[in-house]
Amino acid sequence: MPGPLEGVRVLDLSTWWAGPLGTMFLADLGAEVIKIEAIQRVDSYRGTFAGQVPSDKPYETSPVFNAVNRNKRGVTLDMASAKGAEVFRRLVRASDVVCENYSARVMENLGVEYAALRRHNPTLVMVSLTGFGRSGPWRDYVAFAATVEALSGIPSVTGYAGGPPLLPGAIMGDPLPGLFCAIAVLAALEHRRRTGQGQYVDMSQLEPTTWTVADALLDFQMNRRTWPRQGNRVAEMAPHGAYRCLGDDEWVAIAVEDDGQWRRLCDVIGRPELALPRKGYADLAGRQAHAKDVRQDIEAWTRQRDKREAMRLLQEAGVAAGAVLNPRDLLSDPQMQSRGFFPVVDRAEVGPRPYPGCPIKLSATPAGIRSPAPLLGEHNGLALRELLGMTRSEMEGLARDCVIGTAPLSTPPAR
Amino acid sequence: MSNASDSTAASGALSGVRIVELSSGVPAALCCKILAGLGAQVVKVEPPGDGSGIRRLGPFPGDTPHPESGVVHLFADTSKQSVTLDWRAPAGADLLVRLLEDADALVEDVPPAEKDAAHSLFDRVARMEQRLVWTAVTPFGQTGPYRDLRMTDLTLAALSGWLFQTGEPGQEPLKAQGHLAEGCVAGATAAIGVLAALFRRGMSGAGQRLDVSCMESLISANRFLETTYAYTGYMTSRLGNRLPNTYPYTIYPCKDGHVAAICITDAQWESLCNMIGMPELLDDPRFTINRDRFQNADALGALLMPWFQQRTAQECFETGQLWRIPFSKVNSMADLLAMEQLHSRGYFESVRHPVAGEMRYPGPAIRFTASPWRAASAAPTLGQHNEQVWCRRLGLSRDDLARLRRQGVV
Repeated sequence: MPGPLEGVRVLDLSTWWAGPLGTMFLADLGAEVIKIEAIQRVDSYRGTFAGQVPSDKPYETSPVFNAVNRNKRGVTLDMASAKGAEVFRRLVRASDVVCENYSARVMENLGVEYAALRRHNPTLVMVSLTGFGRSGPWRDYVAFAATVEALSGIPSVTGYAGGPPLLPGAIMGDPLPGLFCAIAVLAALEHRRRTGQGQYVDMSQLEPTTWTVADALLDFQMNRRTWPRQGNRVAEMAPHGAYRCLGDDEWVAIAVEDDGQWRRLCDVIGRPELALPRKGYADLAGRQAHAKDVRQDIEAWTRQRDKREAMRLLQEAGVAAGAVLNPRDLLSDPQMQSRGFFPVVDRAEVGPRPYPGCPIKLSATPAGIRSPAPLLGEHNGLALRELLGMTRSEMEGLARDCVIGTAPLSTPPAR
Repeated sequence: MSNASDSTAASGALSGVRIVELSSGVPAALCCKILAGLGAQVVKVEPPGDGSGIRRLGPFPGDTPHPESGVVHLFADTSKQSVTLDWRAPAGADLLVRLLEDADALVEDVPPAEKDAAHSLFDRVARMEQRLVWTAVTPFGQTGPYRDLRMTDLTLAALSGWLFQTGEPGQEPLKAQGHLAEGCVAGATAAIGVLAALFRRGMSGAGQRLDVSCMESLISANRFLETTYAYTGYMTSRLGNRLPNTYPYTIYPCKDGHVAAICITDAQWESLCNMIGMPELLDDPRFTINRDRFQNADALGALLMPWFQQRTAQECFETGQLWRIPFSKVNSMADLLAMEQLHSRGYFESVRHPVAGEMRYPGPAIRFTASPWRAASAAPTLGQHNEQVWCRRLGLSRDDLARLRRQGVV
């Protein structure tokens, strides 16, 4: 069954994680996404965790590159050459959407900025995703995820009590803008469906990332309060944190939302007296004032239990508890298995491996993984012949000039 | 480059789309905030009395809990209408069905067990599938052994593998502060689904049902660590302010605060060594590639840190950017509000709310040139649009509404 975006063609010039995550969703939903790299400069994400699966093509062995680029077609094109840029403009004529995350200067130098491309395709939708957006004094500044996270203030409110600012291990500055990039494309396609009008969309990594601290930002204005770093402590719930379980670095997270849940937790851990008023823990304020003692009482019980067992017993009593799962746990997690969330996909150079599926399940036009990430230049022939009607000899000429190819001229540094 | 001068229709991409939000949590609310930003008309259906669950999340002005002024509600419910309805009562169920018959999409986070209990209502909703886009955004999805677990953002982050990674090695795993990070990711994921289904419906006329799992959304947005483990056996854990196989990707103290010192590519590494006047580091075998620098991070950190300690955050940031190294300051909320880059793009939106007053909110996450993001209007007070929606839109009489109010349905 086709996905909801069947028939939409996207040219994807974006690299690393943010842009490719956005186009991953579009591809999962059925769009034909053509990922364009150059053999002169392949996507640097190919170097991340690469070279650890035996292959004489280490640039094909990055788990993260292969995960985020599934369902896409792989085309190489040296846009820095006049011929390459010309082929790209011809591809634009045959496509609906362009996504890119170059700096403004690079796109202009290549002659593929929106104003130029629009002459080739008047209804083109084009999304530019940069660190700080295409306007303002910082339009040319460089950014990776942590750059925009630090500016958004996330680390200023993340960390242990009394400790230094901490970058979130669950990175925000790439995936959240990536999701909004997919939203931008979909909204612009809907607008084009209604009006026949294409458009240019300017996106930054910084702006969506600040959404995650809107509560701290409003509190600062409302109460003139700067949030201290305070571990997992929150105002409305206590206990609220992760508690050590049986084993090495094993934890269960517990969030007690009200006094009734606290009473039930005390029953589960066999300490009903902790819920009595005389102990001073019966209400939220008491539990927060005695946070250290409360932790000791809870950990005396959790330390002797497997994290999943602790979660099960607390959940049975109606207390929000979740085992702190690691990547290995998730691959064998019963909920993930029951929903088939990590399908195993066979890909050249790396063999069958599990990849996260699409978190959106649609009843009539399903999304999901239909094909593995392409090999470098795997679909050169298909795309250029099918879309542009190129002859074999034309393509051989492009290959001779290194405008297209299937082997990188330099490999990205492994990391 | 804000709104292009050549735009002919200055309305949002979803203008005219009618969405019903039946939610208590953050992800569904943020999903609908995005859809409202795109121009959709969102009616949030809340239980009479306390209203939606997110109204209970603080902080509040003066730390006095109030259902109208919790910051999560203020931010997540902008540009929406609020009606109250006890849809569990038969008269309320009828009214919800009428509202949905007049809508294009339903976004809900009703716990699956409650939907089972109210199956006669949701069977009626299912019969609208021919034209309605019905999206459920729940912690674990509509199926599976975790389906009915009790959940908060903390325990969801734990189960999704997020908590495991944040914090110092061996110490307590940490959640991102506040109540929004998880909801932003899950809500944006759900919005992608709603938009794709509305787009398809626009071409075929057919609606459908969507099942969005917040746990799966969080895993999808998290560095593909499970796939990495399956490829390499490498299990990343908490590394404090470090990222595997990359250094520096960290926070250093400086003269007057903290700096995010980020250096990923070889070109940036070369620039960094030259910038700090230590080109000899380029020939040091301990620091040749990122993996080497990560393995010798303590030694390298000791060599780099003095440069930062002698400078202010602003100097570190500007000098780094001059060399095209993606340094930045660690901003406070005060710094964030004052950022010139954001002001020059008109990012923060001034929103005046009758109870919480006027504040600047994070604004449009996307800058469209032809179908502009809608300027935010304040989150609605509970039931603020009862008369507008129930009477003017659905045609109930004032007497009907008064009767429903007496019965506690509205």
